[in-house]
Amino acid sequence: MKRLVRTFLSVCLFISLATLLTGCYGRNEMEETAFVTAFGIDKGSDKEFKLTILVPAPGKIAGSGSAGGGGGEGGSENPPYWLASAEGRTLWECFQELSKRSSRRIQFAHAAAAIIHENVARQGLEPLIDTFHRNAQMRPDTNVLVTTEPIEDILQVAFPLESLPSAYLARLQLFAHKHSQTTEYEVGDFYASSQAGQEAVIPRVSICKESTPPARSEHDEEKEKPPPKALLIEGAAVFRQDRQVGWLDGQEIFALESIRGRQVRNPLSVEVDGIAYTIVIRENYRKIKVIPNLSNLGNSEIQIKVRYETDLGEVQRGGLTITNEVLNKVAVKAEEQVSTLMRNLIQKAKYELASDIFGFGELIRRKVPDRVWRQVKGHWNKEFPNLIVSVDTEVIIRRLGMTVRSPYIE
Amino acid sequence: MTMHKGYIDKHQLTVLVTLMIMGSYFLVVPRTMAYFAGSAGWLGVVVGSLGGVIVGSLVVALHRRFPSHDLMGMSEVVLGKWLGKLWSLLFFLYTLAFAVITREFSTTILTPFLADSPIGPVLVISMIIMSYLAYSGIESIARTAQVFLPLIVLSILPLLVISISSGDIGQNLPWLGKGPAAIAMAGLNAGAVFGEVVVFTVILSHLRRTTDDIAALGWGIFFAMVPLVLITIGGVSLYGHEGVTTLSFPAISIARRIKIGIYFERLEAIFIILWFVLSMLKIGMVLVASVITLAGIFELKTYQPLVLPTALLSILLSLQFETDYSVLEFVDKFTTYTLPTSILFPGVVLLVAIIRGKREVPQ
Repeated sequence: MKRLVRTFLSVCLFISLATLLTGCYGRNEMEETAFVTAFGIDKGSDKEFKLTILVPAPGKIAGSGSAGGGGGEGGSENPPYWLASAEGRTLWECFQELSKRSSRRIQFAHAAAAIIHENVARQGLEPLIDTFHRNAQMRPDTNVLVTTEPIEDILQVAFPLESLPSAYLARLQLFAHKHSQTTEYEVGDFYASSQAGQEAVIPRVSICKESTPPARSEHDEEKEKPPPKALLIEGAAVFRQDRQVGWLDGQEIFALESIRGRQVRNPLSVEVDGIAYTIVIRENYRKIKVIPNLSNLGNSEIQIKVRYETDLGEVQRGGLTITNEVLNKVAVKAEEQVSTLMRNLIQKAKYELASDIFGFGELIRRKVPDRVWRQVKGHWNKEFPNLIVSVDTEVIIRRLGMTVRSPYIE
Repeated sequence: MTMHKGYIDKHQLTVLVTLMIMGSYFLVVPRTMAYFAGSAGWLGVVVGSLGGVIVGSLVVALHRRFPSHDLMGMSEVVLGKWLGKLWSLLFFLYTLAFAVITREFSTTILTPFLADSPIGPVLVISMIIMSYLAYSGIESIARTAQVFLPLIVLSILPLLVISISSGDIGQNLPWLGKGPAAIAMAGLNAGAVFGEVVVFTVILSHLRRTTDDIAALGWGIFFAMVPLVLITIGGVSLYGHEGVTTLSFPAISIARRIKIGIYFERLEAIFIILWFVLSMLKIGMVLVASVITLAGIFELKTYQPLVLPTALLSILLSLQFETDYSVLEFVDKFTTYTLPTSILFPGVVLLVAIIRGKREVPQ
């Protein structure tokens, strides 16, 4: 009897598990899902937000190669994706609007990039951040970008090497650290930025203007201009709390990342005695020290020392034997250049942007939590410009490359 | 009491203790710890494990006095028949409070993964599984756990270490967080979960006679503490100590951000599978403890008939929470007052036993 009950129960268990746990209740078929690979948020013309999504058409991507160009207008072939936008008071309203048009269920879980327009960023990201985090579809590892261009234009750029604009964007982000002219920011980073003492710096994406080839024949110019061929991820938008307050360019980002202690790989061009040298940064180390000023908390001092391990990349003079004296001169010059860059950036952050992009507040929280941070936490943005920051850089040129003295043509 | 259904050895005891503590807490520990202790959340877990050691040693001391009785039997001998029954009834109610785990369990499956599904099927499935586990008895649970837990721990540890390296470990500074008082408060809350070893007053009488049951218990607490500490550090590294307090399901949010190079991403499925197994085994174990106690109160020969009604009762109780927030609120209150409770259950019995000089007569 007992055996029978047990058998019966286990059969029941297996049947119910097999039928219920497969998720057949709220089933989502792959073929009936529209995977958004990139989306953008702009201000609507008459409503609060405009949501633009890019959904690749699975059947069309394979083998389409470079034929999938353009925004769809004029081309004989349709682009291998669906680009659509809708306006609404909230993001959910936009989403609903888009759902009405889509023959498939729209899914955000595979979005590689979220592009936010400057108009929205300047107004404050607060209403967006919540949706990003509350919705289980949104991933914390989606890259965030800020732009000044219309989002539709960005999502239509057809880079010849990639089949989809979103794949292009994602790979651009992936290789951003190779040139150190921009930074990285993911949706999940909003959590760290929401703590006082560390402001958000979100990379900027723009359309590359110059790479558009000239029209082949004169009468083509009358027609529509060909869609731009390339994007550019360079520089970043600086935020104070949730509002954008300004921009940083590529060189400033290089200085910022060095101060933050992240790895940079930047070529530095230096001119010594009329000869142009290029040194390439291989590694960099940061030492940072907080000297709290207890009588005047805001006037605490932060000493930063950055050491760059570099290699000689280029010397624009043949027949020049590279000696330690030459290297020293170059290094000293490079140190000056980088220090100036950093000092300028610190001035800009303190007075122009009034935004603690370096995370000095966070540093103080870690190092002197009780004596300083607790007192200045509430009004850190006001205290931050009073901070005394001193920068010291050290450039060491280690490797000369494949030649000590390049050939010289007399 | 002749309710023995199988015996467990000391390795299985260790595994069960680890399971008991880690089972449900693994999912939420970074949030509660960071909430109380700030960046020193992991220290809260360490302090909390002391609570587990205290409760554990009380449980073992009781067990050594009454090797063949569970809590019901002991309290009847020590406190007298009716008072003992009352005491056991209180303990039964305490185990029923674990219904909240069932609720947390289903919410964790529903919100991130089955967004369109109602709660019913998930609860029914978990009821079926936990009833089946409870029917099979403590020995089956122990054996299942012995197979799964080492696998789980071995696969989860590298993930946790990677989660720390994916984030900024400096977020865990200052290492004293909000200060010693806050850490003590965090410890009290973590201690509530470590204090769940009090359930072993029921289970220990199934232990094969060995001398070092306290060591097995201690190891179990230690093995549970390590992943809990790691996930707290990982959570704070990835989200900051303020950010982590805002997460509904910290373990899943952490898993979502773990990256191994650029190839391995989106590992939350692994987390949820592991956690599902852990959680189900734990709920089954609590249900066993609960029905054994109830059977003892009603002086039943076997506890099996009570399994299904009790499981149903706990499912219905878990539906009493109106919103997710009420679950959070309850868990917060529950964990704040549970450590004293879990000390009291074996503590009072032991104290009275010592005062009245009661001790099991060896046969």
